Amino acid sequence: MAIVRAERLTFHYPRQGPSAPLALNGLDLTLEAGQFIAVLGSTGSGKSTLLQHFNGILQPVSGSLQILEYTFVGGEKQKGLKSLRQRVGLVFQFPEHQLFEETVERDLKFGPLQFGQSEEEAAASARKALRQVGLDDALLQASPFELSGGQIRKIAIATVLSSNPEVVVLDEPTATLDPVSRTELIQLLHRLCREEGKTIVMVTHRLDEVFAYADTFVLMKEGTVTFQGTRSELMSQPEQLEAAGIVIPSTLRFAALVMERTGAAWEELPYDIEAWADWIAARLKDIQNDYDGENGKEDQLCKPK
Amino acid sequence: MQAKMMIGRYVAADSWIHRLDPRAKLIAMVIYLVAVILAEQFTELAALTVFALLIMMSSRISLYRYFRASRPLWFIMAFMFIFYMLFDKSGNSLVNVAGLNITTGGVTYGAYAVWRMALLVTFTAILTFTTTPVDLNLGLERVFKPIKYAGGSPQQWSMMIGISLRFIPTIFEEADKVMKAQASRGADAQDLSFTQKGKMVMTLMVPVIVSAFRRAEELVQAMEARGYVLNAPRTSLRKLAWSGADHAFMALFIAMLLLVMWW
Repeated sequence: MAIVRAERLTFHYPRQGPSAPLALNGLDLTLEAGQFIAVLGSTGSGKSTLLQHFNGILQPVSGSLQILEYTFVGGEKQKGLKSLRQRVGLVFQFPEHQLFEETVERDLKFGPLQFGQSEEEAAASARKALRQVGLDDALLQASPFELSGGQIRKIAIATVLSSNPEVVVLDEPTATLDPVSRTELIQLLHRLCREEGKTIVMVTHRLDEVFAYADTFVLMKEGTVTFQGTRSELMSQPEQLEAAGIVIPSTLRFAALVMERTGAAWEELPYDIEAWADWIAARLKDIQNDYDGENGKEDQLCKPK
Repeated sequence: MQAKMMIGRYVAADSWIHRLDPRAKLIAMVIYLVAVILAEQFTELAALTVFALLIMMSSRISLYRYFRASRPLWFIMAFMFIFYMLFDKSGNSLVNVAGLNITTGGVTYGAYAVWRMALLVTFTAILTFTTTPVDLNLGLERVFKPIKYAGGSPQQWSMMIGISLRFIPTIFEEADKVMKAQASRGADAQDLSFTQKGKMVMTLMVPVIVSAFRRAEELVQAMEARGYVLNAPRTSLRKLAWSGADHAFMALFIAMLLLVMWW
């Protein structure tokens, strides 16, 4: 089932005037439910603008956009999108700017209460969301302003998870996080996708952090989608990454070099460090076995295989 | 939201008003302010309006922009009008229902007050529309010079005003961010009733004020990191030049003030 279907989607920011370049320029995109989707592109490619369309914060200027059962047609402003926003949770860029309550608990309960949960249900949702992002209940009574940057970011993500949305849309959630928290966060999102069947749409600049996890990769440039496909499709077209201005991860560069030297196909090569270690270990074992075997039979020594 | 906020924004256009010395414009605005406050009759206000319109038209900026600049204050203007209407009891009675007595005096004074306010706002917009922030700051610093003899620091004052003007769009951006976050979590200001909207504004205040303070703190550190020392003597790259046009501009305003005073 498609959760997002955009056709000739165009958007420009009104305050920039009609002569400013379009933020989204006739974009076509279809996204499937239950997947982990990574959206990549350099700054100014329209990633954030696209994400804010997913729960109707921004609405198309022209073209059409279908999200779940909701259809937006260019130029027609829609109101009363509460039920859409319950089902599609959006975590903005710089999540530290999106907390507005006095305590963490009230911030976490804000969404559930707005979406009609009772006080007790909301409190339970808040606790659950906080635990999902790996934080302690002790933080519930803290003020968001007295926490560390990483904690604030996790709480901002939890404030969206507490409403239990079907689709979680995140705008650069890993930026400015330390490497450990970054991996933790991606694994959390991956778990939500696999175990709870949520659709995850995540914007990032770093292909390496999502490369092993995402099912679908979307590359954007100048307000359009330049590539959409699976990991192996992406691996076979590294020029697409370069064109979109994305740094190619070292594992992928390594694979490209191995392919160049050995003539192996993309499909045979691993894509993350662990798998590479296994792959190399297996090759070494093969060589060792061959060597041992050859030593056993004197007459075969030095003969080509 | 930002699109609605027109105060404090420079509009590039090449007119003789744009080229005037910022000091001349600043002093002219003060003279105009005094004239508007002194004006009490219909003819005086009408004359000031014509005067303002002429100046605005020669700035090569569309009158619609000036009109839009007054938009944030419409609510206050409406409030002022209603206040005068309800509480000023001079003149003849117009409507007298259920203890509510609206008089001609109330309506006229209310209208005059709104008129004055509109004149002030749209005309002061000339200053910010035609003067770049840098020039404005420099002009303020010079105009504030007398403060020095009273023990104050003109640099400090002009810096303060310059930064506050610069911060207006930033603070609106910040509020916009929080409003988007609230809308995303099910509280869209568009869908709320009037009282609920009021409550939302309250939840907006705390994070916006906190972040404004945080930004101010960061700005101070950034300035000091680049060697800014408060009240250190400094020269400026741009020199202000007072020309014949500035003399003429001043003369025009002084004549206008005298006219209003001895009408």
